[in-house]
Amino acid sequence: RKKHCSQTEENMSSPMKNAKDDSAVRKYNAGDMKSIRKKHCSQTEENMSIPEVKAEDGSAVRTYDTGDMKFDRNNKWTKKKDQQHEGRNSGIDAFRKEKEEKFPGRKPVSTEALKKFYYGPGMKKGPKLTGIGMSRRNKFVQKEKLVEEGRREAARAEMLLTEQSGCVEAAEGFSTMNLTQRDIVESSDITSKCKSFELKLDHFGPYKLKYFRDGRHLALAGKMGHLSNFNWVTKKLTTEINIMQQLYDVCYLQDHRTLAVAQNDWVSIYDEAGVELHAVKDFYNINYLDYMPYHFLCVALSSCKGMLHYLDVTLGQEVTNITTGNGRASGMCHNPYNGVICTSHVNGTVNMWTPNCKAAVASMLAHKAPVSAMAYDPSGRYLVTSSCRRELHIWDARNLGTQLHSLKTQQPARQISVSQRGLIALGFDRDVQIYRGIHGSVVEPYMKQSLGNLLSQVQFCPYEDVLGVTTRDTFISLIIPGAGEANFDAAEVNPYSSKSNRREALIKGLLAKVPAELITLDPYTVAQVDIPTLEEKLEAQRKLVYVNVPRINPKPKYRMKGKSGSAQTAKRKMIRKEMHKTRYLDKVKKDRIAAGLEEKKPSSNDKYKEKIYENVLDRFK
Amino acid sequence: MSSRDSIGMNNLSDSGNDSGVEDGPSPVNLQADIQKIAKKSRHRSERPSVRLAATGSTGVDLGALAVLRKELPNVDGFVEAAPRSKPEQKRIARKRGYEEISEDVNKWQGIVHQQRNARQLSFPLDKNSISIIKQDNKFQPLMKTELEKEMYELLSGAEMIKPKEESAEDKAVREAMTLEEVLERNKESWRLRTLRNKLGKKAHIRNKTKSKKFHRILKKDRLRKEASNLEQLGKTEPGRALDKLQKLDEIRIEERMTLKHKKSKWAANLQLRAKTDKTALAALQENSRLHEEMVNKLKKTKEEEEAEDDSEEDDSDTDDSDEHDPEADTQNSTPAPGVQDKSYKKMKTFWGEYNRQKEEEMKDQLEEIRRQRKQPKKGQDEQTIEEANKMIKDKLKQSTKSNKGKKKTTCSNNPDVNDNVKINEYEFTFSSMDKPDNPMNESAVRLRTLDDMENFKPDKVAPVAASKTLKQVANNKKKSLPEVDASKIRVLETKVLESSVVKDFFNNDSDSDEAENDDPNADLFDEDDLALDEFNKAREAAEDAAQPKDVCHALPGWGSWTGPDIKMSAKIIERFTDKAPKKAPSKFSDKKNVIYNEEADLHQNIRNRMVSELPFPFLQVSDWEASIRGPIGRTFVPELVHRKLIEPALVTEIGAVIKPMDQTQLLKDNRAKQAVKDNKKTKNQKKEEMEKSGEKPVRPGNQLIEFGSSKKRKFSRKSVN
Repeated sequence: RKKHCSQTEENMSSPMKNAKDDSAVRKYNAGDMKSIRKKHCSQTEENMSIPEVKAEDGSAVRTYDTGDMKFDRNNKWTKKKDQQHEGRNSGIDAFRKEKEEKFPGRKPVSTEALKKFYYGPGMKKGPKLTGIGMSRRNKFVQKEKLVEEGRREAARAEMLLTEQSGCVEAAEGFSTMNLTQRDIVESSDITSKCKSFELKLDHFGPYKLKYFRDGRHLALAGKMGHLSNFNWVTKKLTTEINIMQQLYDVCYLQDHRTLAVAQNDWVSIYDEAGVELHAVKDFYNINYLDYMPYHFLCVALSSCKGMLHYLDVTLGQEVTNITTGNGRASGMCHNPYNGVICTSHVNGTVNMWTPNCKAAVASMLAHKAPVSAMAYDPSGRYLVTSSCRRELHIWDARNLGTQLHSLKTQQPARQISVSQRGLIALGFDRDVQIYRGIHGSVVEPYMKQSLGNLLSQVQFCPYEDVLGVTTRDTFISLIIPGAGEANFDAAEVNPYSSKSNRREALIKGLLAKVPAELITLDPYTVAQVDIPTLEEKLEAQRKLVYVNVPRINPKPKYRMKGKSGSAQTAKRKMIRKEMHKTRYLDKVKKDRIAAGLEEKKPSSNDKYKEKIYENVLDRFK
Repeated sequence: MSSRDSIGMNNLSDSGNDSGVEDGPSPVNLQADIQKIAKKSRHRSERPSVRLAATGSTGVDLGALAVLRKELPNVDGFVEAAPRSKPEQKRIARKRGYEEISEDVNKWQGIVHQQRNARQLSFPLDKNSISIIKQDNKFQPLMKTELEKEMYELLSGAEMIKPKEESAEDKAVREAMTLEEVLERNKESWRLRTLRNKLGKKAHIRNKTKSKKFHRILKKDRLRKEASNLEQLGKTEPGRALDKLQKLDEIRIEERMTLKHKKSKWAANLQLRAKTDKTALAALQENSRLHEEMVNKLKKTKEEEEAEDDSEEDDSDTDDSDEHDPEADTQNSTPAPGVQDKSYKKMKTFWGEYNRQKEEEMKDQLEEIRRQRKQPKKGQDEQTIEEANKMIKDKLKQSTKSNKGKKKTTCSNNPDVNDNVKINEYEFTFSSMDKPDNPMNESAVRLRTLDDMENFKPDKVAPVAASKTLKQVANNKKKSLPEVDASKIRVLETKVLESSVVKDFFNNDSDSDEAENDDPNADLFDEDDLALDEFNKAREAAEDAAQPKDVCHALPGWGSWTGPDIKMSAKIIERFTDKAPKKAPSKFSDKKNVIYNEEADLHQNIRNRMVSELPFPFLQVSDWEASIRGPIGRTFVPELVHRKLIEPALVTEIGAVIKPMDQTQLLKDNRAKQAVKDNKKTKNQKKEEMEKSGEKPVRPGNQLIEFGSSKKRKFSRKSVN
């Protein structure tokens, strides 16, 4: 049995390749490359000796190929360059060459890292632009270059992520499944040891749990009214009260000090002192609670009534409520990628909801049996569902309906949780199993833990290698190596935040609040053009270009006393026709002005109108 | 003078050059610009002259024309063209004007392009403060150790390091003025010109005044002023005052020697009459003869006077006066020599007497002056100006005489007193790298006289010492750096682990039928499943709802009978049905297990927030979408890139006046470009020279140049890009 915790996930998938990369880095630093490069550059005679060099030190040459540079295996580049040098025969070039050899520039960014920061296809080489000169056209090209630079630099900055997440690797003939918590605790350091603990909570269970986003705080809600909120790392208790009502679910709101609790009848919000700040009585018989931090939306689902509620916590108002239908809802979660709420139902479907519409945005038949549990992975790319028929399906969350893995389990999974690094925790009746390989082609079992009592809930802790499990009478914190993300983004969520940090984050979060209307399956929709509306507008404009005044056939009233003679009637007809024409054209003109086809002439009254300035200081212009 | 003297001169001039080079705004390429302009103007001025020659207008020098003919390629076919018609001339002028102006305007093109393409513009524009630091003057080697210092001193003492010789081009550049200087000079000259004109006008008006009394007063006033000035000068600078007095005397004498009286009104009238009246002619001749006599006499007296004067220097002034023959003047003025008359005799006698009187007076004066110079008198109190002058002169004379002994060795302003051979002060320095602020330098010797110079010999000790220390340096080579032991670097071994899959983990106690699932999607959607049926129905219903429906406008009873059992004909229904356009397949239409509600997903709420018009200047949706795809925020891209992305296109300084761009900006631009060119040129030249001579660039001087050039290049890149 061997533990090898220092390698990244990528390393595991392709150890050979990474071994090369490592050697590349070493060689690069050691300066062996320099000599080889010199040999490449200096003369054609020495080019002949390169195969030998390759044979001697194959890895070095290979690294050179993987690096950015201008060398290919056949040394075409070198030859060309040499010829040029000879042709010019100038000292400046030689100087430059020497300089380049000495200082080859910045280390190239690997294509792997670049892929991670792919923003989509750029503008075409010659973008179709109208009505601008070359200089403004160049501005767009410059911008494009800058975007590419940003991408490259972001990829380069990846190397600042010094922490590496690891995993337990078994030696040949062994399985990680046989590892027990005791083994792990024994072989880990003191701080990690502290993370493995068990709380005996035998009076008010079964318990629901929620980790806060920063992975430091934990809320526990016992069915019999016990609510507690504490820092599980330091074991410092923030809140502990008994609400004296049945509690069904709990969730943190924007910071770790406010909790929303689904109580007997409605949802209440408590602060850290245990004071009930707010009771949302419209949210009735709620079983599931969830919170979306970027939208400031608290979502509540009443499974028996099939009602989904959205609460905007900044306004304290319900945004909308939706009747889910499709039978009893067995679970609810939100997709962190786009903010779409998913509900799982007994008819085997998973329905997706946005606050925009009362109808489901999408409905997916996940199983032919009732869905027992489901969970998104924290990146929002995978959806894991399980059914009562012991099926476990892993779906591509962005390509709806695309199944990636289908597995059978011993029992139907009652609870699912996916960790930041893609470990899947399945909670069965009396045990928990952890699988890995959600990103790869094979999902394999990783660990297991049997429980003394009936399982209530499982959840991975963010930024920690910890899985929280609640049963009827206990809370267990299990160490699962390789579960959490090793590098946290302090700008996003900071586990070590101070009071002022939290305040700042709150304000920034409010400023960057995503409106509930923007929730849709593809979050990049806002950055796209609304093509149907655009087409409509263009069509309307097209219609306004040429206008035919519709003909009318007015029939003037008959008048007495010889006023309806043929001449008089014809005259009156003419007048009516003219009037119709002018009125129609006036209307068209207004439309044309609105469409931007025509410019409005300033009327004489405009002068005397009081001007409205955008800025107070504009009046001095 | 010996050759050493010339060396000394060179050294002196070198030191002068060094002090002249400063770091202020240097006229880098102004000279080149001036040359360009001059070339252009020459070009312009040549053209019309050629045309003149071609037209063969009058007043053309035939010799020049011949030369021109030679220069012209087609000698035989050269025919003098007829003068051009006026419209043609105008057209040519217009064309030329256009060319000039377009050239003038085109020079802005580069900077306009640069400004338009700049990512950021900042105003007010930078002041044009380009300066090129001469590396040779600025460079001071970093000397950390004592050894280095010693080395450097020795090398400099042994003339190993030579200063960079200033080329003619460099000198021209150094001496050329900046644009500001030129402008200032022009302004100053203009001011002086106007002042002169003004004063001239004033004087003219004053001279025209006919009142004799006024002029007399004026003269008196002037003389009084002069006298007082002279007196003051006598107090402060006795030597100069004496000079001035002498000059005044000479002026007076010379005035008498001029032909002023000859060119008088009387003479002019006489000359007019001389054509007819013989007496008038004779009178004129007599007059001229008398004048001649008088001049000769005066000359003699002057020579005598000069001979008497105690100066050893050879006077070039007298030679000059000899060359200037007064007879030539008289010849020109007198119309016909050799004609005599009675009236002439009368006139002669009259003038003779008059002149004699004057002559005697002058002689007396001269004698008096001579006497006074030799024997100073004291205690005279006469009120006339001349007397005052004499008095001052005497005083001055006395003072100079007393100082004579002291002043003899040093140079003096008084030419009479200075009887020594002039020797300028030369400084002999044999180490040109010596800084002027090094007062302890013993190698510099100040030579004052020729004797000193002959005695002087440069010492030859320094080179020997230098070679000695060089050897020492070779012995004391630096200790090599500790080498890194390669074996101590630990290499991590990477072990390939076998995949440890527990194969039948999933299906410990499951049915064997369900266990075998090669294709995950195979049994997913069995047709006889209730859930699936329900789902399919819902899916179809949703699809139908999404499809736009046909609208039938047909009404029963129109064109046919209607009633409880009568159906409308299919023909009529078809005719009155508006067919809905087929909708494009939705996003997930190919997925059978998904119901996608596009209307709900792309709800009107979000559509309201989307862009529904293609922003200017885009013509393609994809282009615009691509243009906003990159993230800007500092949480998505590194800070530096973020700042680059959000930097404003225009930066202005608060409270600063933004002036329009002027020509100096242009100059700056050109300078930058020129700097690049020059740099290249000099480099190439040097290289060629080096190759010719077979030298290798080992001298420290060359290294300095390299540094300088690299600096230049950097600078130019910055400004050009």
